[in-house]
Order: sequence, then C-alpha cells, then structure tokens
Amino acid sequence: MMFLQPKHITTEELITRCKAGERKAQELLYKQYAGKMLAVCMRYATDKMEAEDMLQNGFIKVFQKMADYRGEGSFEGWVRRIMVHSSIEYYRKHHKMMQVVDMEESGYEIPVNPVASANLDAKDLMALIQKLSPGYRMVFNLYALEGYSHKEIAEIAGITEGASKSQLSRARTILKEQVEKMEGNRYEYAR
Amino acid sequence: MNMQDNEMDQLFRAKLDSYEVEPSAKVWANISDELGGGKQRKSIVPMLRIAASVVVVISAGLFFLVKKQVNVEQPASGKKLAGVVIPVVKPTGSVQPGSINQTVNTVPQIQPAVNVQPKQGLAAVVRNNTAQQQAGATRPATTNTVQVPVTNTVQTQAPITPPQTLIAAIDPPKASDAHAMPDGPIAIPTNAIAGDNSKGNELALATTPADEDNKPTQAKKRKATGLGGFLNKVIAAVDKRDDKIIEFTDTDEGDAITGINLGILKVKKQK
Repeated sequence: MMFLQPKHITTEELITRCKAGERKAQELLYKQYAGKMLAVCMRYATDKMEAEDMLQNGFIKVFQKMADYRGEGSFEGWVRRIMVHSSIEYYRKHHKMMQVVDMEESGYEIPVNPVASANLDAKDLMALIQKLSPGYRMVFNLYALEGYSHKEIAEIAGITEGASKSQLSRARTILKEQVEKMEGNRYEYAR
Repeated sequence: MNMQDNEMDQLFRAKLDSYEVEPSAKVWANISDELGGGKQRKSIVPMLRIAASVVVVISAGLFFLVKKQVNVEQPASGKKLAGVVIPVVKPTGSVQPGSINQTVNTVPQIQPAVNVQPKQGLAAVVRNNTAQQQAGATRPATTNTVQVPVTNTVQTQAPITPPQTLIAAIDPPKASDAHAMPDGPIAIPTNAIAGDNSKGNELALATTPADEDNKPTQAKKRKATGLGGFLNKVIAAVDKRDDKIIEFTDTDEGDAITGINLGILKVKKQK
C-alpha cells in the first residue's frame, strides 16, 4: 500500500504548493502520508473507523498549520506529531468518561488463530494494542512507540507522571501476556 | 519466555513502524470539504442576493400588470387637458356629500367650488357605487397620496362641488404614488386625486363649468390620456430606449402597464 509520489514533484515543492492552498497538491501530500498516518492513528483507536476520524482531523490541522512548518526536522515527523496530538485530543474528547478496565477483569481473551499468530505480524500487534483500554493504550503508545518521556506524557495526556508510569506498567504486563500466549501457540503449532 | 520491557517495546516498534493501512476514500472527501467549505459558502451569498432582488422586481411587475382595474385619472399634461372633462362615473347618481368629505378631506384650499383656479385648486374625483365601497377604497388613497393640509373649505362646499369639479394637479411622484397603491379594493372605481400645485404650469386643472349632466358619459369616452399617458411622457423624457422601463396603455378600464424593461428582464404585453 505504498502511495508513490510522482517523480517530478519533490516533497519541498509539494509543501510549497500546499502552503499556497493548492488543492491538488494537498491531495498528493495526503496520499503520500495517509497510509502511514492511519496506522499511527489506529494504535490510539479502538477500530479503523475511529482511527479515520482521527486521521481526518489530523490532516485538516496539517493543512491549516502548514505555514508553521519551517523545514526544521523531517516533514514526516512533523505530520506524525500532529497525528498523535489529534489522536489524543480525540481520545480525550470521546473516552474521558470511560472506565479503565483491564482485559483480564473484563474477561477478554485475544482470539488466537494458530496460523496468524505464528507470524505475529503488525496486524496482530495492532489488534493487541487496540484491545487495551484507552488509557493504557495511549500511555504505551506515547512511551514505547513515540519515545515521549513520562513528563511529556503527563503534559500531553493531562495526567500525573505517576499515573503515566503505572499505566505503562499495567499495559506492558497485559501485552506481554498476550504476546507470550501467541508465541506459545506458534511454538505448539510449529511442533 | 520471559520478555524484557525493552524487548517488547522493540518488537512493537519494529513491526508497527512500517505498517500502513489504506484509509477509505471518504476521508479525503471529508478533508477536502472541510478545507474548501468556506469558499463555497461565500460564493452563494451574492447569488442569493441577486435572486432575492429578481424576485422582488418580478412580483412588483406582476402586481402592476394585474392592477389595471384601478383607474387613476389625470391629465397628461397641463395645457392639453385644460377643459377636458374628467369622468365622474357614478351609476347610483349624485355623489354623496358625506363621501366627498371623506375623500377630499385632505385636499388643500379650494377657493371657488365650481371654478377652481388652475394654479391653486385641487380637487378630487370621486366615483363610487356605494358609500361602503368608497370608505374602504379612499382611506388609503387619501392618506397616502395627499400630504397637504386639510381645509374646511372643501367640506363646506362639497355638496356643490362634486359633479362638476374635476381637477388634478399632481406632480409626477405623487401620481405614481397614487398609482402604486396596492390596496385591496382594486375593483372599486374610486379615486382621490389631489396634490399640491407647486409645480406650477406643468400641472393643470380642469374644470367644467358647464353642462354638468353630460359630463360623466362624455368623460369616459374621452379619456384618451390618463395617468398612464402622463407617466409615459415623463418616463420618455428620462428613458430614451425603445422599450421604456415601464410603459402604460389606456384601456377601457383604465390605465394598464403593458411593458416593463429592466434591462435583463423585459416584459411586454402586445395590444
């Protein structure tokens, strides 16, 4: 699912044209990054539909704030940060009232497909993340995948540093269990 | 299989970093709408304004076309009409004094009842079938068309005046006001024409000192130039086009608008 950019247009050119508000350039830029950014958003979402809402809000912000991008750092990193913030904003809007419920407490079990779990590919890991409760999911994403510190997470997510640490710990425990289960299945399947 | 925290983070990062999911087509459509929505909405506003003004103009035009049953009689021009008898059509006979008062009560000074001086006098033509009809019809006419103070003279002389004195001294704007009266009782041939004669010679008065009895029937036939003709001349002086902005034609029932030309919108009734 690669969105290939036409060879004759560089990213810099595309950015310049997007800053001028050119719709065609905006579309090309969107197509170039949408797939990757949707994958980012999906980690913060419960399902693809929710992730698409986050992606939509994120891209609208990207185009509105395009003038703020001064060419410092990678453009993709800039877009990605906007997506992460858009996702968190979405989460805070829609999940603030949600109770934090452990998968174990809710009796949740990842359905194990022996063939699929043998590969343990991105899709499986994505499924595991999406099944986490929103709070755990967000902290794990920000810390483990985006590289934010607990202090930064506390600011972004509006929680305390301590809460960030404890939620990360819980999230890791749950994920580890699930991953080992899957790998165990793979082991049994391979044997 | 005791996985370390770092190992697990690494696993997720490695697997998910290159992961891509194609979004559905509606996402871009929504983004595009959101980004372009403002511009589209802006462009609709002037269109609505134009549409609204066209509707207003058309309905005004239709109103005039429909209104031909109202007769507003008036000299086309002063000199030409001197001596012309303006009809007083009253099937029921003489005009009621009371109703005259009602109609004319805003007319300014009229010194002689019968022979009205051209430059001073004003009069009203009142034609009504019933007093009741008249009451309804004249109310708006007098209040709207005439802004001249009321004098007692008219009232006291009213009984003598009605049949024979027909004067219209109206300056153009007032005339059009009178014509434009959109009031209900269109079918009632009641008119109150009055005005100040500050325009001087342009506006004329017509009095018919003689032959009061014949007047009504004569007048009807000779109504070659009424308000419509007068307005046509005024408009012709301003609007040099072949199709004037508004054209009147005399008909048996009175003046009617037979053409409207607003540039882009042209309506013409063929007679």
